[in-house]
Amino acid sequence: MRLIVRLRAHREAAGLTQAALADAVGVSRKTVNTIENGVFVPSTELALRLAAALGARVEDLFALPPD
Amino acid sequence: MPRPAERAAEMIRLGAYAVLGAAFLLFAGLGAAGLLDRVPAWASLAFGLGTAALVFVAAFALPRAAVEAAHDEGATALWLRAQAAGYWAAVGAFASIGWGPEAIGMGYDRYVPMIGFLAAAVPFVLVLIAEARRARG
Repeated sequence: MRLIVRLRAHREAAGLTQAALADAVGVSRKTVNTIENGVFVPSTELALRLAAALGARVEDLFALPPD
Repeated sequence: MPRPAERAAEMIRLGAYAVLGAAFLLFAGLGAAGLLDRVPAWASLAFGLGTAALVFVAAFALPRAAVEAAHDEGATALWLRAQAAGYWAAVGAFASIGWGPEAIGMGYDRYVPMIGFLAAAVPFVLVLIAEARRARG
């Protein structure tokens, strides 16, 4: 199952670079990049940290594809 | 751009992988050539412990946030996938022992260490390729 990822849109709306968001949540820029590209699915903890850093809900950043 | 300390931690980790991968490939070549007995007994221990010590010392010496970012869950997931591939490489290497030496016209005494070290190198080579692709992305 491929996750719908809206992280990039929320990050850009917040005016953050990948590196700035990575710094804010304590991971590398490469990891943020692979999440945005759907290559890597983050843990629940990291998803919550990303949502908090962007002032969004986890469900805003990630969603299951419709049936 | 990553912070300098994060970059240093990452380069030390990847450097250790590169040294170990290269050492395994070198040992595979020496095994294929029947020259493994010329390697000093301390060499393999020095490669293994030396690279491990380097990574651990860097982890303690560099700022914690930088080390955690360099060893984050994305890097860990990549390493686990490479190890999974290494598992299958080891299974394949073991399975090939029955027919591999005859297939490539190599003696059993040379084939076994060669294929063993090649299998050992697989996770290190794969993780370096994957990290290079991740860096470009």
